[in-house]
Amino acid sequence: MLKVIKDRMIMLVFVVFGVSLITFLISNVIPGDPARMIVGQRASQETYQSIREQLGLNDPLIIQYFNYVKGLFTGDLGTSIRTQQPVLEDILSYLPATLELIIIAFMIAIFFGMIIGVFTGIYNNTMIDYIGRIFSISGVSTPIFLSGLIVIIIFYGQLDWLPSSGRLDLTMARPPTVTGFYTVDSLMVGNLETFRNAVSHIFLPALILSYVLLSTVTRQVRSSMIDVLNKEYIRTANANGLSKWTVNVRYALRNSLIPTITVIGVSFGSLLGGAVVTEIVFNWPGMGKYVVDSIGSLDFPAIMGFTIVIAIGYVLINLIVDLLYIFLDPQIRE
Amino acid sequence: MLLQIEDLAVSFLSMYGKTDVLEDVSIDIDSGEVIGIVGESGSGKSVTALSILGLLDNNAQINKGHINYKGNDLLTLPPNKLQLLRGKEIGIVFQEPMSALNPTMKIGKQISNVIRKHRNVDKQTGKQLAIKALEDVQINNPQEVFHKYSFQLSGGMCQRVVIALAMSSPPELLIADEPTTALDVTVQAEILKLMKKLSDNHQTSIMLITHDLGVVANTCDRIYVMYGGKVVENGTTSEVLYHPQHPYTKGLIDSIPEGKSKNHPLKVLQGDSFNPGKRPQGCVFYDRCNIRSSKCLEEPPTIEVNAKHNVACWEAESIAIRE
Repeated sequence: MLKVIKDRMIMLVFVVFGVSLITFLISNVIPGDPARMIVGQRASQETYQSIREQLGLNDPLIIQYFNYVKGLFTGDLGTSIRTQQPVLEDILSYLPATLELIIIAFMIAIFFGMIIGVFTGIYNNTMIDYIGRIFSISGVSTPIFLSGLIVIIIFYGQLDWLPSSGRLDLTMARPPTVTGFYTVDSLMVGNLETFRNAVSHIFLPALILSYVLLSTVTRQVRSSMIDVLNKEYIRTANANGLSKWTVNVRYALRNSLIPTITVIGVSFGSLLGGAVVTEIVFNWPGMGKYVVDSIGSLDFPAIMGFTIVIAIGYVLINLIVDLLYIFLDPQIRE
Repeated sequence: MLLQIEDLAVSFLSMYGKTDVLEDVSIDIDSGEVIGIVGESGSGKSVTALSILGLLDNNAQINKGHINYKGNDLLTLPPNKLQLLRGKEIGIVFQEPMSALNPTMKIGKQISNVIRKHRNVDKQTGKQLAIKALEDVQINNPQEVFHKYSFQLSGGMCQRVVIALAMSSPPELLIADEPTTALDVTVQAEILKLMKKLSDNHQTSIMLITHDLGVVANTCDRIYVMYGGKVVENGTTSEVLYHPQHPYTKGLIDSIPEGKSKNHPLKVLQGDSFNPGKRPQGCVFYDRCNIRSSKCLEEPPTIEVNAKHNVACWEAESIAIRE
């Protein structure tokens, strides 16, 4: 267990190093001059040069990279060109909104994905299975910007049940920051009105973001359930008179989860990518929106910082997946 | 009569159509009796066993027949009633002990789950009874095995655990579907002895399914010989083994290598093993029979050789008439 954690931590260093190298090089080959973006087209040559000097753009590439990596180790991701704030500060202020969205979408996807997967697996090739399969195939094949717009048109445009953008109504005061998750923070101070408002805002984006992962989980759980239910130990369990619940959940589902968590770990990347699009569609003030704005203004330090944070998140999720394996599969543990 | 299978006929449905796998199978077991069902692969032994507990795959279709158990027909019993019998009154042991156990659950947990289901006891008692069950199947260190997983045990040990599961209530009938086929020869004898001993202790009847006549000779009171989804011969063990009437039974006995001269080639059954997709008209054994005649193109009747011995063969009938 500790060895897995140690190995992954060592790997993390290499991943961060590799990701930083690649993003750094890309940001340098892409045409576009951050200094010119800052000073504007009509600034004098001196102002332009002094800004270039200030950003370190006149140093040789290798020195620039060395300085960047040196900064990384002290937690300095550079200064955003667009906001003039340290990138780390920017990211930390946008991170909770994104995390809240991702975590809720993740929970919806895992919970309902497993339930639908189990039922479509047990009732393989029946009406339940067909409906579940149509549902999950549309999930993996509908892009978020389309499904997002559809639910906005229905639930905001036509029915006016739910808001279409932001994390809270404009007139609503933010809850005091503890976790940065409005739903959790408002509950902590017992402010139910803010809580309801926060939930109504996060409901649609989280639902839309979860749909892709939900479908992936459904399909994976379904196929591993079918596989496991045909195993001989399931026949033994049935032959020994164990109840349907015990056989299907404690014997079959548990063993179906082993291949499923692999898929969940891998799909986490697509959830992060989906979060960016979801945040744009629902005007959600999170990291995704931040990075898209940064891309628009060639804010390389911000883009690189975002990429590195995402890479770290990805490695950590896969660490959790590896630890779950150890928990679920005694053959790995013993 | 504990269990009576009457004229059971089962087909498998597939995208290519319907294949008959059992035809008019009738088998009886008395309380405390040990019967053997012998036949080659595809003869319908396992299908017979699985249909008793309603464990056939979804594509199986029961065309006719009854399985009477204590006044109930198991084929028409509602699923929840049938489930109450499974493991409690009728236990079953399968061929592959390693894959018959859940690989991610400790042995002890699997046994106590079954025990708690059938005996309605609390967790602590369930654990004690599970350790007792492991002792009963002659596992030397039950405390230790209780906390092991199936992949940490040998095949013989796993089969003991599967037997412990099947015998946990203990049942009235134990179905053993080739319980020793996947095991070493040395372990085979121990497992058979163990099953026999447990059934003697608890007055449990055993339906032993095997393709090994040697196993049957040592263990069973009566034998049913199956071929092509039919019972072709049945009777007491000594009757069937020493006075076989059906050419298939004779062929099986002739092909046992033990006790034969090393200087003569061993007799084998000619032809390919039975293919349910190409079921011959009339006698199922027609294609491979060395004494077949034109009569055999019609379904042979079941002939009573004597009170303890029946055979389904036209030749046997003419022999009987001649005598």
